[in-house]
Amino acid sequence: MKNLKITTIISFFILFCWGSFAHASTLEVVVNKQKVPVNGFLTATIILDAENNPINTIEGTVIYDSGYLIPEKISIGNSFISFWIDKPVIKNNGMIHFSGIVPGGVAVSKGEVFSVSFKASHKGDVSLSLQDVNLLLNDGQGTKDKTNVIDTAISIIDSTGITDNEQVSSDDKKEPEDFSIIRTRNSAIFDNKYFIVFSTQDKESGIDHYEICEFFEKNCIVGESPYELKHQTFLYRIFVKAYDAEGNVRKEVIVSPWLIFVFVIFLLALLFGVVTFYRRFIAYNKL
Amino acid sequence: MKTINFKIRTNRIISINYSIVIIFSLVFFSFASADFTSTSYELENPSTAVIGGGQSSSASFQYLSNTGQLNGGQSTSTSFTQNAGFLYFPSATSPIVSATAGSTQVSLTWTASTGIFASVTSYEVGVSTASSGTYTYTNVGNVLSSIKTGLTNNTPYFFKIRTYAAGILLTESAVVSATPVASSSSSSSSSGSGGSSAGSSGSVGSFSIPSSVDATVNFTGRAYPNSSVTLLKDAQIIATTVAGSDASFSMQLNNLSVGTYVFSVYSTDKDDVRSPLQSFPITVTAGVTVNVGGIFIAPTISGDKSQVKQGDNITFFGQAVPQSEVTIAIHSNQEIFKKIQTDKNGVYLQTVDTSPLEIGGHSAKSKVAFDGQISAYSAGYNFIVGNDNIETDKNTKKINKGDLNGDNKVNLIDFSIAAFWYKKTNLSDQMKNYEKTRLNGDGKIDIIDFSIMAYYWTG
Repeated sequence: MKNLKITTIISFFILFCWGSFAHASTLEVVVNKQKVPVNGFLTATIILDAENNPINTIEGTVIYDSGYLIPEKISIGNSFISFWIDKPVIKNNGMIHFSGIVPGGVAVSKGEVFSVSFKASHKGDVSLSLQDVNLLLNDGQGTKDKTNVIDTAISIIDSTGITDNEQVSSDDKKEPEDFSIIRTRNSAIFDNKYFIVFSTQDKESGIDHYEICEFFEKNCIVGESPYELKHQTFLYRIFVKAYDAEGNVRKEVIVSPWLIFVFVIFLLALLFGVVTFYRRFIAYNKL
Repeated sequence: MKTINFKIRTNRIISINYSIVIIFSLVFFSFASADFTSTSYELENPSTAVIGGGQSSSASFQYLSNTGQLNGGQSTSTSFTQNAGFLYFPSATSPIVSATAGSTQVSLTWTASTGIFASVTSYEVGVSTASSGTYTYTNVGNVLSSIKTGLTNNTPYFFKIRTYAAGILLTESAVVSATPVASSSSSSSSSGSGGSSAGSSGSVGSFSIPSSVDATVNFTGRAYPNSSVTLLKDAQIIATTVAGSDASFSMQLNNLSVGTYVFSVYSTDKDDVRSPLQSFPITVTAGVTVNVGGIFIAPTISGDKSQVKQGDNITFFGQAVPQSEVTIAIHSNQEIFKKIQTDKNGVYLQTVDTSPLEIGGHSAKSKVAFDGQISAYSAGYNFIVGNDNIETDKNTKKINKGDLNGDNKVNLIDFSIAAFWYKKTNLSDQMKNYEKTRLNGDGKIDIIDFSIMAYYWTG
C-alpha cells in the first residue's frame, strides 16, 4: 500500500508538474566555436525552442561587446519568421534588436530566428547575451509565454600561429521568391493616400532591401512596406525590386489597367490622326 | 482521514474517505479533471482519483465507480484497454507528420501535440509496410523528429506518431507514407495517405500547381465536407482547394526552393466561419518529395445568442468531420464539457442550459475526435450570461480582430498599417479606433497587437 501511494505521488508529479518545467520556451544564443583568434570569425545563431507552446511573436535584443566583436553580416535566410516588425540590422552599438511574427504560431524545436557573423577584434573573454526577450503565445490575446534565456561566452585568443580564414561566404545565386504588390489606401495611414505593400523571402542569404520605382525603372529609391506613392492618380506603373544579401534581385511590377486603356486610346487616336492626315494629304495632292 | 464530497446533478452526495496522502498530492499539484457526464446525470469536479468500489443508483441514474485503483495508467490486452484513474481524461492534439524519403531511410518530423489535462512527455514512431497493417513502435523521447534507417529502397513504408504522457497513450497521428529510393535520383514517396484511413468514402478535393521542380510537398488532411481549404506559405496564400464529401483534402506544391517554410492551413465552413490557422514548419531539400499527413482542422463554432438570460438555453453549432465526436468546452468558474456527434455533413448542434454559468462573459470552444485523432480547439465563441436574451445578429457584418481595413481578411495590408504606427505615440484618430476595436485596446501599437493579428491571420 505504501509503495502504491509513493507511485501515485510520483505519477501525479510527472504528469502535472513536468509541464510547469518543460512548458517554458527557450531562446538561446548558440555559437559555432567557443574560442576564436583575433581577426577570426564566428557565427552566433539565435535559436528558439518552443516545443509545447506555439509562439507567434518574438522580440529580443542581442547584446555584444563592440570593443571585442565587430558584426559583419546578419543572415535571415533560414529564419522561420514570416514578417519582421524590427528586422535585425547592424548598428555597431553593441545591440541588435529584433521582433517578428509567425502567423498561426509555430511550436519549433531548434528553430533559427537569425544568425550574426562577428569578427573578433581584441583578445579577451566576452559574452553574447539576450535581453528584453518576449515570446508571445498564439492564443489571440498576446499572452507572454514563460521564457528561459540562455546566453553564451567566448574566448578571443591570441592569433599567433593560428590561421582562421573562415570568412562568411555564400554562393547564393538565386533571386528572392516572387511576390505580389498590393496598391491600396486607408484612412488610418498616409492621410488616406495610396500606398503599396509587399513582402518576399529569400531562403538562402535573406532579403537585404527593396527598391521602389514609379513609372520608370530609373526613378528607384530604397524603401520598405508600406510605401506612400508619390503619384496618386489612377494611372500608375510601379516596380518593386527585392535584393537579397548577395545582390540577387527579383523585380515585380503592377500597372494600372487604366494606363493600358489610355495607351490603347492614344494609339488609336494616333492611328486615326495619321490616317486622316494621309487621306487629306492624298486629297490635297489630287487637287 | 478527510472527507471529499462529489456533487451529482441529481443532488445526491457521495461521501468518500481516503488517505490524506492522496489529498495532499492532489491539492499540491492542483490538477483538474473533466466532469463525468451521461444523459441523466453529471458528476462535477471529480478532483480526486480515489473512489471506493461499488455503485450508487437512483431511479434516474446509475453510477459505477472503480475499484479504488490509486495508480493511474493504462492496461491493455488483445481484447480491451483499461484507463485507470483520472488519467482516462487527458488527451492531446494529434501531430501533423512530415515524411521525407532518402536512400534506405525516411526522415520524420512532426508538430508538437498539445496536451489537455496532461503534459506530453514522449512520442513513439510506428512503422509498417502496410497502411492498415501492424505497426512496430519505438519510443524516441520528447522530440519532434526521427530518422528511420535500414529501410529497403523502393518499398513503401507507412508511419504513425503516438503521443504519451508519463506512459499514457494520449493520441496518435494519421498515417503518412514514404518510399525510400537510391540517392542519385530524386527521392520520392507515394502520395500522402495521412488522413485517408478507414472510413473515407467521398471524393478528395485536390489542387496541383504545375511545376518545374526543385522540391515537392504533398499535404493531406481533414477539414469539413465540401469546405474551402486554404494553404499559406510563409503567411501568404499559395493554394486553395475544396475538401471532399468525407472532409478529406489533398494539395501538392511543386517548384519550391530549398529552405525552411512555415505552412499554414485553414478552412471555411458552410456558414463562412473560418477555422483557426494550423501552422507547421517544413524543411525541404533539393529534389525530394515531402509528404505531410494528418492535418486535422479544428471545428468551427458559433452560437444563437450573443447574450443569454441566466437559466435559459444557448445553442452552439458548427462544422467538423462527418460522424465524429465533438467536445464543446464552456469556460466559466467551472469548465463545462458537452459531447455530441456530427451528422453526415459534419454539422453539430448542442443546446446548453446556462443555469450553472455565473453572470458575466464566457467563451465556448470545440474540438473533434475521429479515428483516433484529436484536433486542436476551435477559436472561442464569446457570449454573455446576463438578464436578457440577445440573438446573434447574422445580418451585421462582423469585423474580426486584426482586420484593420475591414476587408474580412487579416493579411499583409493590416500588418503594414500596424507596422507604420508601431511604437509611435501619436496615433491618428482612425488608428486609435482600430486599435481599440480590432486590437488589444491599450492605446498603442506594440508586439501584443501583432500577436493578436498573427492569431487571426488569413493571408
